[in-house]
Amino acid sequence: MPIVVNLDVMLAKRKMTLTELSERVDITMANLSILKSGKARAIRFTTLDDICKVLECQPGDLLQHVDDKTYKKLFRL
Amino acid sequence: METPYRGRGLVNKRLMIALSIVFGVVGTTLLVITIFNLRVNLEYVTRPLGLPNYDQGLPVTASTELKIVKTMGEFDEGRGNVVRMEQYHTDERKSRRNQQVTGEMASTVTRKSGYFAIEADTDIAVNEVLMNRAVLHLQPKNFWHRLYFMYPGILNSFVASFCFWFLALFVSNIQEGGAFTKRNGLRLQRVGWAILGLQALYYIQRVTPTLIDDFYLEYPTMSRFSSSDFWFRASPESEFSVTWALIGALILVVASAFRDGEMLQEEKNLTI
Repeated sequence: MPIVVNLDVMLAKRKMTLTELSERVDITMANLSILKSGKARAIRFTTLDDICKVLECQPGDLLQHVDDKTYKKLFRL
Repeated sequence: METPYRGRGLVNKRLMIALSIVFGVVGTTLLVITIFNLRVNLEYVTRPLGLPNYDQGLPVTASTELKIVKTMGEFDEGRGNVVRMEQYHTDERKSRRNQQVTGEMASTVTRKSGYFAIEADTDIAVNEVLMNRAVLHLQPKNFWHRLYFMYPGILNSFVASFCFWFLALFVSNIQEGGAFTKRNGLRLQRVGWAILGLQALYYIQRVTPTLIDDFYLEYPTMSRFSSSDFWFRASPESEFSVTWALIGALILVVASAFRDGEMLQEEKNLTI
């Protein structure tokens, strides 16, 4: 689905690793990987709220809508 | 995180596997008995006959003779063969529910023909004579006749074994926390089709004329008023059961619900 989660970008800006985020947000590494890789089907508001609190950002900083072509290019589909 | 369901009591994998093995062994034993004609002391040749009732106002009979003219097997004279006849009269002033049995005869048939005496109350007209049950012990003549006697027991055992095996796998999956999977949906589907398929086979057998030799009971009567011959053709009762057909259909419906559940489970797994 053409919603991209820019987790890598925000982690780099905040100089945080995925492991650190996982510990602070209490989401497993596996689930964060699913989120990062674009395989997630949905995200709960509570989860989004927790990530935004830790990364000190807005949902719009994490979520980006792209067109199908760009999405396929990004994830090599 | 939700705790996966752990089966308790009857819903456990080991019991299902045990039942599957038991039914498999029973089915195999019956098949071996049938193929090799092992004359063990099982009443496998006993089948209640769905005899038709004759209700067209039989004349009063002094005695009536029952003969077994033609069968699929050899008549076993030494066993407890029974034919039960009942006689009713109807008082015209009362409703049909007030029918009373004025004579009842159960007789052990020890040879190929037997005599039954029905004594009618001469003050009351006899309306019906019902031959409602006959249990005849026959030894089948050849392999195909043996199979015809035995196939319901064999099929029921193997289908039960098959169903319990897949239910064991299904229960095992649930105990591991994965109820809604494609595999479980397929397993339920197989169980449902097995039960429904078996009932369909029995229904076909019930509605189609018997293609092989059947039981023939000749039922001539000797009466003070008339002498008539009444002929019956009887065949073994069908194993078809509407209840089991409905259960099979219900399991198929549940299987389709599990397939939908699988999609929901996948959505849930990919929801962060």
